[in-house]
This record gives sequence, structure tokens and C-alpha cells, in this order.
Amino acid sequence: MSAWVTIAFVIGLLGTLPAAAQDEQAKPAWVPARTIDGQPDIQGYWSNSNIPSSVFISLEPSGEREGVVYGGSLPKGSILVDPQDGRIPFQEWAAAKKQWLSDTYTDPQDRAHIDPNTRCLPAGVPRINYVTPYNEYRILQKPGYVVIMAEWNHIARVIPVDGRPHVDSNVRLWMGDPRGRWEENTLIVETTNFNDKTWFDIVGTFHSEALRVVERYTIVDADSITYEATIEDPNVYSRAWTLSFGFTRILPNSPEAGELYEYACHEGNRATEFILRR
Amino acid sequence: MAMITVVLVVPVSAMTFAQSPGGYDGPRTADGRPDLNGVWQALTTASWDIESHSAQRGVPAGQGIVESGPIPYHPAMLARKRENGVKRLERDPLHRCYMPGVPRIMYMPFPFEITQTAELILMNFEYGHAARLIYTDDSKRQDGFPGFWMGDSRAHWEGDTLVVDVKQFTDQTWLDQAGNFHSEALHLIERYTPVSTAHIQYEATVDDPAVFTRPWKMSFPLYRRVEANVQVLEYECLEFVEPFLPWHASPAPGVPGRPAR
Repeated sequence: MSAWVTIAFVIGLLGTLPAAAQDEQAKPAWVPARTIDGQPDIQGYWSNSNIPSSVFISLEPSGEREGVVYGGSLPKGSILVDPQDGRIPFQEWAAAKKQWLSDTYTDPQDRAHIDPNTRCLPAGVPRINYVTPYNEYRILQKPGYVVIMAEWNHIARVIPVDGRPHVDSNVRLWMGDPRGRWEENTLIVETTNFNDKTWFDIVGTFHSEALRVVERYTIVDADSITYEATIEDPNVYSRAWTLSFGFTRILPNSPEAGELYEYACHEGNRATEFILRR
Repeated sequence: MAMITVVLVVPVSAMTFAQSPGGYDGPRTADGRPDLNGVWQALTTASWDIESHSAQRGVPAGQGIVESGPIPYHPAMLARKRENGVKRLERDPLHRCYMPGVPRIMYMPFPFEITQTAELILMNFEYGHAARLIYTDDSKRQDGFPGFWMGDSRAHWEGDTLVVDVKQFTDQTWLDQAGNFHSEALHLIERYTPVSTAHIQYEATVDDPAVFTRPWKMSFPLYRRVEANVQVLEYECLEFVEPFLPWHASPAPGVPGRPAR
């Protein structure tokens, strides 16, 4: 065990020296500290950042497809980076369904037509990463795993990075079945085995069980991660599409700093009831 | 003679192993603590009734996890417990899929995973994606909050035993399906003593002067799930009770579907 500590220490030392030496030169590639099993160490508190507020309502820029402005005066924008026109490449039938769900969004007649997040069900992937503005996350690592604990609805994603296969295809999950691997400073997570019940936003951007999400967490420096998620679902979209934003480390002296609170969502939820009784 | 020696030595060492808190000789973390990482699960009938009970339809008989029972309720509180038991189908918070609270979550028949670092031990539970964040970083709990469904857990190590102090509860969670309950004043001291790589002895002292006349103890083993492919899956309770919650409405006209191929 002490040998491992020594190795980790030496790796850490090797990591810091070149960075210090190149201080005055062009920005060097970040050399992260390592966990005991050699993973880049990304543990700590993180917050999603630079997400325009309208995204929490509609992934597509507000009003462009449906002719409705969602979110009132919220700052508008998009985290969709592919396609560049910011439109999700729905197949024709799926566009009709999405339009129907969007149209009923302000006056749903059935709980199945209300955003699952409003009903306090799990957010799914990648939505857990942009589920609310400035949501807090705590990343932990143990040998063979990266664990991302979200404050929202107390959801932990336990991501094996040891090369094990996915669970059987009969097992369908709200948060899917993630499998990760490190490629240098990038954690690549492939998630499958989803159910077809989560949405990507409030206004009905949906998927099927054929959903496959590939996420890339790229460490930029000690305090920032670039996040990218590519979404494939041959039943619903005509091609894959990609969204991207950043995670920023919450530093101890930040106003956001603090432990994750218990997010008792369903226990206090009256939203679904009130929406249906209007 | 050699055979006899072996036969004699093995049971003696096994007893020492089981009885001595200092007997853990399994793997350790980088900071020298017993390595509790992995998937664990209780194998008791306490989820139905923490006290000894006969079988009922769908409920296995069990010997209970309460030490030197019965549970020392104040008389009026014992009456309420009995009423809870009779009316459990309408009163048990789990029938609305609320977070089960602590200690109830620890002996429900679902696995949970431990992720252990020097500063924090995370337990994520298959049941209702409940989670416990157990701080081992010498931090103090913040006062002035309303109660938490899963309590506020601050822990330290006493040798190889993880000692968790849990307070700041709501009065909304129960201890089992039989109607055993507590108030906001609940104060738990949990002791997790690893006995082998595959077995943690769990003990909790339950103190709640509003409900019980004195502190009392429960104890049971937690077993490591040793299947090579084991992982915590999902029991998304809410999904299954949503149709029965009061805000259910009748279905609207159907959404457009995918054309048949």
C-alpha cells in the first residue's frame, strides 16, 4: 500500500515540475494529479456554468420551432453545437410528437405529458448535467470508478472505468448504464440501457430506448472541465446531435461553496397536482 | 494429531475474528482505513418489522434486530405505534415513495453502494435513488435547518469502526412497515465495524426522548454483494405509485406516434 502512495506522490511531483518550468511560456497542457489507481484526479465540488437560462426550458432556442417564447425574459441562447442551426434533427413523425408535447406544455391534461423532472423523476442523461442553473455536483473517485453526485434530486452516477461490459439489454434504467474510460485528460462515458421516459427539456424533447449518449469530460485545468454530450437515437433522430458547456470548480472561498443539501423533490412536490388541477 | 490441531484452531480463530473489533485484516484504503468500497445489503426481515414477528401473508417470520427488547416506548407512543401498524396501508410514508430515512434504509431489501474517500463516505441506495452523505472531514453540522429526510451524518473512525452521528431528522419517516416510528428529536449513533472483507457488523443506538423512555440498540450484519457483475440498479418507487397519487388525471387524447414499419 505504501508503494502505491509513493508512486502517486512521484507522479504528482513529475506532474507539477514541468508545469512550473513552463510558467512563462505558452499555456501547457494541464497535467492533473492522479488518484491512487492512476486516474486523473477530478474530485471536488463542481458547478455547471455558461448555460443560457432559456436552455433549462427548451434545448432549441426559444420560439424558433414552435412560435412560442418560453421562459419569458430569460436570457436566450443555446448549448447545441451540432447541428449548428440549433435544431434537433427529429425524424418527421418525432417532430410532430415533439410539437404536440410543446403545444400542451402550458396546459397538460395528463401527468404523462408533464416533464418528468417536474414530477421529480430522475433527470436522465445528459440532462442531469444541466438540470438547473448553477447546480452543484460533487465528484468522488475510488479505484475503478468515477462517482458524480448531483445535488438535484440526490442522484449519484456511479461510472465504472474498469472496462466491464454493460448490463443485459433487458435492464432499462432512468439514468442508463454508464461505462467510462480515460483517454489522457478526457473521461469518455458511454451510457446505454435507457428507458424511454426521460425528456431533455421541459417542452417534450424526447427519445426512445435506443438512446445512446457519449459524454466527454475534458479537463482544461485544475478548475475547469469542458463537457460535451453526443446523443444518438435512430428511432427518433435523423442523425446524432451534440451539446456542450462547461463545469467550473467551486472553490472554498466562493459564494457558492458549501456541502450538497438534501434535495427532497417528490416529498415536497405540489407542482404536478397544481398543474393538473388548473 | 496434525489434523486435530487444525480442527481445533480454526473455530477458535474464527471466533476471535467475529468478536474482536480489532480483528479486521482485510484491504485498507490509502489513508489506512478498512476499505468499505463496494455494494452491500442487509439480509433481515427488519424492513417489515424490526421486532421479532410471526409470518404473515407476504411477510417472512423474523427474529428482529432490536437488542434486549421490547422497544421502550412511552405508553401513549406505544398506542400510536400499534395504530400505525393497523393503518399502515394509509400511513406508511413508503407507500407514497418518500425517502425511507435512517436507519430504515439500512435494512431494506435492496443493495446500496459505498464510495469511500478520506473526507466523505457516500452511500447511494437502489431504493428510490436515496443517498446518504457521511462526512468524515471533522466538519460540524449546521444548525437552524428544518429536518432532513435522511438526517445529517457526521462521522469519525474509532480504530476500525466507523462511528456516525445522525441528527436533524424530520418526524415523517418510520422505522419499518409495522409502524415503529420516531420524532424530530431522533438521534442515532451508528457503528459500522468491518469483521471481514465481506461482512460489516452494524449497530445503532436509537435515542429519542419524545418517543422512547431510554436509548435502545439495534444490530445486524451487512453483507458484501460479491457477484463479479454486481451494481446498484434502480427501484424508482415513484414511477410505480404515480398512478395512485391524488393528482392523477384521466388520459388526454394520444400523442402522435411513430409509424409502424
